Parts: sequence; C-alpha cells; structure tokens
Amino acid sequence: MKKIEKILDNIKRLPPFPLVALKIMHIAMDEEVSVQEIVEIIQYDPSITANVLRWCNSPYFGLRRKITSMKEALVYLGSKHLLEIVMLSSCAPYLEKSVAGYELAQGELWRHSVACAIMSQILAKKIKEDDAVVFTGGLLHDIGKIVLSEFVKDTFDKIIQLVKKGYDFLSAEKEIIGMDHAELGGRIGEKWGFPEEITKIITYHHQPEEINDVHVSLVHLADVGVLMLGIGAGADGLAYQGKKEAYELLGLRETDLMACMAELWVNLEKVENIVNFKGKNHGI
Amino acid sequence: MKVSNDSDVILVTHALGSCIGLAVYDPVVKVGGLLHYMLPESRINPKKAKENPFMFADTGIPLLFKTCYRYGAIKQRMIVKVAGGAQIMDEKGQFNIGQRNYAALRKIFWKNGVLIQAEDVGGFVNRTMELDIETGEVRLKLPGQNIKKL
Repeated sequence: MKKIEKILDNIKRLPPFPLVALKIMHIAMDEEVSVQEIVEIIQYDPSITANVLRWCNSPYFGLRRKITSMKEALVYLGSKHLLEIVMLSSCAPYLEKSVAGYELAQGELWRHSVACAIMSQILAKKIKEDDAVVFTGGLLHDIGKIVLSEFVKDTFDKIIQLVKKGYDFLSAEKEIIGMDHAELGGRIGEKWGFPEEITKIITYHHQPEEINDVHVSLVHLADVGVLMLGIGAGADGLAYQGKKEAYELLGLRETDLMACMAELWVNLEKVENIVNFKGKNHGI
Repeated sequence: MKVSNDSDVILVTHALGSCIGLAVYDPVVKVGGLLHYMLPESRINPKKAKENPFMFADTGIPLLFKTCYRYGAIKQRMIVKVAGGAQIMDEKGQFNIGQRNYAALRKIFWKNGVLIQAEDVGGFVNRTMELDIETGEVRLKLPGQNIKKL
C-alpha cells in the first residue's frame, strides 16, 4: 500500500470524536450561545458531566467553593469556561499520548496544545477578537501529528536531511511522506465533522498567508510563540516558517508577540495545572 | 533562575527554544547558577518584569551574577556558558526573538567585561541544559542526539 493510502486508511480507522463534544463545538461558533443550551446538550452524557464537575474543581478554574452539581457549575463558570472545559476534557485523550515520530514524550503534545490554546486567547484579547473558536483551534491545531507520527518515525532520517538543506519541517513531511501534519489534521477534522472554522485553523496553521483568516493567523502566531518558548517542541524543533502576513492581517508586530509571550509565561502555572490534571475517565 | 553551592545538585533547565540558558560557575568556591530567560528587554512588558525579572535578559542577568556573588563567587573567576537562542525560520526578519535574546546578552557582557567560554546557540533545535555544581560541567541534550558537554 502506498504511504498516502495507508495514511487515509489510518484516518478511516480513527474512533469517532465524542458526539456531545462535537455538538458543543458547533454551537460554540454561535456567539450568542447560552449556558443553558450547553447544559442541555451535555446533561445526557454522564461521563462529560462528570468531567465538567472534575475540571470545575481543578486548580485552573480556581473556584473558591467545591462545585457538586451541574446547576452550580453553570452559575459559577459561565458559558465561556464551560466550553473550554468540554473541549479540554474531550481532546485530552487524543493529545495526551506520546508522539514518538516527533520525539514528544507522553504529555508533551498536550502541553504544547494547551499552551497554544491559551496563547491564542491572549493574542485574541490583544485585538479584541472573540476567542471561543481560537481556543478550540489552538487546542487541536496539531491533531494531525497523532496519525502522521508513525510515518515521520519511519522516514525521519530523510526528512531531517531535507531540513538540513533548508526545507522547513512541514515541506519536508510533504516531500517525503506525501502529506504534512497540517493537511492531515484538516482531513481528520473533516472526518470527525468539525466546524469549518476549526478545520481551517488546523489545515492552515503553518500557512496563514494562503487563507487570510483572523482565527488562522492568531493560532499561527500563538503556535510560533509557544514553539519559541520551547513548549512541546520535539524533533521538529523550531524548523517551521514564521509568516509576516499573520502580523499584517492582525495589525500586530513582533513586540506585541513578545508581550503576549511574557503574559503566557506568567500563566504557565495554569497551563501546568491543566496538563497535569487527570480526570479518571475522559468520556470516550 | 537557580543558584547553588551544594555539590550534590545538578541544575537543569528544559526546552530552551528561542530562550537563552546562561550557566555561570566559580570553580574555587563551587558556586553555580543557571538562568533561563525568554525575552531581551523588560520594557516589552514592565508589569510582568516586576513579577518575574528572570524572564528578561536585562533584569535577569544582573540578578544571576549578584546572587552568585552573595554565595561567595567572584566575577573574575566565573566561567560563563551560553545555550539556546534557536530561531523560527523566517526570511523577512520578523520572528527574531532568538537572535535578539542573544544580542541582548552580548551587549550586557560587553559593557561589563564578561567573556563567554563556550556556547551553543542558534539553529532550529530545542535544547535542554544542565549545570553540575560538583564539577562545573555544563551538558546539553538535543532531540535525537546524545548528551554533549559544552
């Protein structure tokens, strides 16, 4: 079987994304979504409900009192945080695993993804943009790595030879394997029925100049910033292109990115809280 | 930033990326320090610089040296080694944080007459750095490579 066919076959065999989380992802695109609507969807899924309660009481959300019912959770959290919790608890099982092809130990891709989600929010705040989409997009941008990893592992020497010749890692993946992790991630998003805004972020997070989309550019800069901080940079390291078009579209400059990196750095404890927070079951 | 004079201790900083890892060591009193800073100048975010001065070259580097002096280290004896400052690929020169971090360090060292004994900076790699307080040895770990001495 050719590599590409094998990759597509692997996508086909992925278990479906949790349905309730998918519904939540879709209604989150609507800025007017109410807490009540979210609760109506998740109440029929006991494992997500249990996860929401567990996450509410995690240090990241830092609520002063112990939350014991969904009713309380909805009062104290508000729709924004509730969405974040549903996304974190549904994405964790996919992203927490080790990703050997990229030499990311267990938890490293998850750390990178969570940091990127939070960094995307910090950048979004800077340009006063709504952040429900960028949080989820930032969290899932590297989902393609979970499938591409084994192919990268098998061909790593060839890929790294190209990087030494001046290729960025993404182009080298494409050249050697026939598909890169961004494109593959987009295919996974399609297969899982993600909203178009999210698959767009995943597909173009290294090539924001091709799409001119605010959310894509935000996640691109967030990803680059997080890589420069060394958070979850594996064997591919920093060998990716930084695109000035993302700055231009958002009206930001390098100094803004640096200021946001400083902001993220002081929030890293929160990132670690999320990364190390272990729900007993993740709902899949 | 960490400083120690306990010979059982190995100071480690993980995943430098574009950040700079700066290791200093006085072999006579066996005092060593390791700083991991992420940005060149504190004026980028003065509020955060107050909360965490170790984030920036201009506030972190002087604090590293001063703390070592407090442990009995003397500037003239100190061995200085530098790693990190990796770069995102960028033809247009707008993602230069790694280079800026390194330039800030050179500027401060030049003003203060500090020499770098060994360094491993730039490229696209994510480095992990450690300093052995017993021997003063600085070791680097790069993905896919064996640990190497600096």
